[in-house]
Amino acid sequence: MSLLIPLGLLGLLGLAVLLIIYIIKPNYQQKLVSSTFIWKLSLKYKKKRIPINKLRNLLLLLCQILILILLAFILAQPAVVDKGMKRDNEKVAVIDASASMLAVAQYDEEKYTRFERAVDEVIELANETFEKDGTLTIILAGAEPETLFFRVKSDAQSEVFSKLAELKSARDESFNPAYCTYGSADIAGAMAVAETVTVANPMAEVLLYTGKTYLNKNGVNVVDMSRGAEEINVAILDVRAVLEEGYYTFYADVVSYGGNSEVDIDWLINVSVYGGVDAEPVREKMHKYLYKDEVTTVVFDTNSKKRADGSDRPVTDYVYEYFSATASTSVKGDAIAEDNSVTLYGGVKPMLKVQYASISPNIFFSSALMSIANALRNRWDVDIDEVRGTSDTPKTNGYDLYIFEHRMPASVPTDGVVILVNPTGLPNELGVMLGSAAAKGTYNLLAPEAHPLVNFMNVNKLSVSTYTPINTYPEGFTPVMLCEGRPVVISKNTADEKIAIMTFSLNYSDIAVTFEFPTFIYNIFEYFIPSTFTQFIFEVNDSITLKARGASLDVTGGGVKNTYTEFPTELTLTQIGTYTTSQTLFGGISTITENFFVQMPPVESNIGLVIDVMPGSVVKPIPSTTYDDLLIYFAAALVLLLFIEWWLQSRSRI
Amino acid sequence: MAVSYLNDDFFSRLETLALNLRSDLAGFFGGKHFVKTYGQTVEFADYREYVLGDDIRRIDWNLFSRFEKFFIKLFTDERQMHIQIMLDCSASMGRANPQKSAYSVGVAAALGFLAVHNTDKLSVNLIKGGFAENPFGTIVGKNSFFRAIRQLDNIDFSGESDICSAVLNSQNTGSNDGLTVIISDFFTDSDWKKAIDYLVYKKRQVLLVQVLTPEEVDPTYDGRVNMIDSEAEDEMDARNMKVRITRSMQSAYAQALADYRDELRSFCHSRGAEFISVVTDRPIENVLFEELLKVGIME
Repeated sequence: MSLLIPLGLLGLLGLAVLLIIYIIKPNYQQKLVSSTFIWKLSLKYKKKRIPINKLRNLLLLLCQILILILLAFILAQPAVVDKGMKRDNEKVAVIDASASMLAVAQYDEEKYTRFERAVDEVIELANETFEKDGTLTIILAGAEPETLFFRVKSDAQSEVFSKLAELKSARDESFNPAYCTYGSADIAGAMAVAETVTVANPMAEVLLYTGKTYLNKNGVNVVDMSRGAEEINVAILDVRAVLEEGYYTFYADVVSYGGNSEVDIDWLINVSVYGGVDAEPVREKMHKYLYKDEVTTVVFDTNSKKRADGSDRPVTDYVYEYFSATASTSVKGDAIAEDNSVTLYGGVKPMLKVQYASISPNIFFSSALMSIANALRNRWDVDIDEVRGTSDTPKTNGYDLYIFEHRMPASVPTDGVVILVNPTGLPNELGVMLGSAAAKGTYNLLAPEAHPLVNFMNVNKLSVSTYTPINTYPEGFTPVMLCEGRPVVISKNTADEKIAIMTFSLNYSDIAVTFEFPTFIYNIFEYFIPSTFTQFIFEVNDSITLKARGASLDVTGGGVKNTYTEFPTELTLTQIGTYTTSQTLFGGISTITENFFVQMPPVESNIGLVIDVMPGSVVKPIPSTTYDDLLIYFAAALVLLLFIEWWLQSRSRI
Repeated sequence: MAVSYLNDDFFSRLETLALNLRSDLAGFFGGKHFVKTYGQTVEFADYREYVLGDDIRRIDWNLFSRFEKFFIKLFTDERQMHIQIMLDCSASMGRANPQKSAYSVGVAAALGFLAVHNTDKLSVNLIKGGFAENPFGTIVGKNSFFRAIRQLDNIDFSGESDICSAVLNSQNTGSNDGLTVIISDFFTDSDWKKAIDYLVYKKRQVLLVQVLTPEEVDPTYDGRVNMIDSEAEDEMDARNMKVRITRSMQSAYAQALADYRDELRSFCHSRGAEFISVVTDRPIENVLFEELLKVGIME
């Protein structure tokens, strides 16, 4: 029996009210009588002759309690599932294709994964369903739900069995089931698809084949594909590096899910420097005992004088910068091998050379550059050169960022970003024509439209006392700031030309004394020299945003080799491993190569994961025809009880 | 008192009746009741042989001529009786139902009228607490009776009454000289049996009149009732009782009342006393003309 409105059971609170009424009910009518003499005599007769009265009173109370319970149940709308609908025999099989389904039981020589067992179960389900002329829907819950078959009957069984056989037999390069992802599964999406079936047929049974445990199954029949204690999965969840006292200490979070394990952690630190000479990698092996489901942090301090085995650490093993740091482990009988190794990149920061050339160097520029260099120290190793006065000639090559103030170069550098500030004249090759300087006064600046160079800036509150308007500029330049409707800041950002021209002096503007100026310098870095990616470890199926300084960006690794030309671009990677990005700047003058690692989501390493509530919803609409209403029976019982209650009342009164 | 049975019509109907008392009572000289002893009336009773000391004027000479023996002619004797009416004046007799007290007064007045009508002496004792008050003294003659009867309507029925103590403490119980009538509902813990035994010991003819209201005979109320005893001092008095009156409870009450009446009746019979139980919904004349006639008190 089901209750369509369980809240109706709140009516049971009436029981408390009934009991309170019974407790506080005095209801004694006062009656003046001549004498109670005979009444007291009669008590002896009553006790002797009518002991059943107490039972009758009890029956009355019992009857009233039953009436209240029945009323509460009637409010809750009791119903039983219509057996006719049950005979419909429609099944929805959802196969969890998350990485945790790659788990293999210990000592399973056939290396049969959970995913393969799930496919076997679905094959059996398909057999049973088609035998009973039932309807079957199969949904593969990978990174996105894929409906393999939608409400097919036995006439499609050959296709069904063929596809299921393919699911089971197809292998990827790692000899894992090809249809199983290395990331998390979109169970919620799969359940949404399943709901389209349950809406059409509320009696359809939804089965989820997974190794995860759901406390609230939300109406889904969860078929457990795990093998309990037979599965143990050792995983490295995270690797990070911290620079301490000039040398790196590496941390790896290691865990053994499903049982205790004794493992060796292998560290491999490649200390190759960008553009430098390859050095011997630093290796270290650590032995750890891991307790079940307890995350243990393994520390590799390269600054310690002793190795893990107690031997002296050679000086060459002190790591102050690294190309990659890999922590890996291997255990016999490990359920999932793909999460046994994680590589961390980013141990060598690329050098960013900046030249600030000015006849009379501006303290604001120097300060702002220093501040930004400090703020971006995790991304860049910024080296700032200043060329002061007129004695030294500014260089026009070998820098990533050139800032020319007052004194303009004869020709524009072509191997870096060029910022021209308060020019008296511009190189002809730019094709930009300046007007005559405006008379002294107060002129407000204006941003004609949103531009990355004025992000987070309130341009309208800035003003200048004089400026030189830009009369004409060639195609490709974009006005960034205007003064009296005429451009005073323009920019151009192409693969080969990255230029910004600012035609007013900081000395004649209040921009330098506001927060807008360091913001403007920061925007120059972000706009012209963006980071390709923001972190060095991603998870499978993460949405990765890639930016590039060059015209194109090549991404290779994990069986992927793609070239992107529009930025920022979103990238979703499905394979575990190291990915390399490379881009060519300024017509091939320089090339940048960077690496990041894509790992299996740590949550998928937990082969015994317990989830509170089934994501998504398989809430079935309950049309009245699918349930046999029990109200009539409850109402009949209620009437009977009311009659009995009336009879007992009448018997007890007189 | 709202209800009263005492009116001229009531008394005029009683004039044809008389109390029938036992003949073995002694009584006083001057009444109308024939007794077993021989007296100075004109009604012949018997003969006996002359013995020395008899009044020779009473020798029947006709018998002497026939038997040559002296026989004395004997005549019946008539005595005046003392009728004592003891009226229970407790609250149970009137507080809850004024008709009950009026009825009791009516019965007392009727018996009293019969007494004075037959030239008997009458005492009306009001039982209050453990004493029997006699506010009217000994009543002889109808004038005295009607003077007293006017005050009967003003009797205050209140408090408790102890029939046993009242009878035992009565200063003028008398001995072998008449009838004692106790009018009460007998709903009391007092030892009324002892009072009867005492009166029997005093050779008094005894009549118990139990007056009940219809509600007392057949209670019509039901459900949960907090019964306040009319003699209770307050609501916490032990005589009050909370009871859930059900059909079974009412049956038990009826059984208890019947048994109590039987107990009264059988005890009285065992002591040679008379007992009647009357319900106030019956006309008082019926009581006098049926119940009292039935038990032989009236003729």
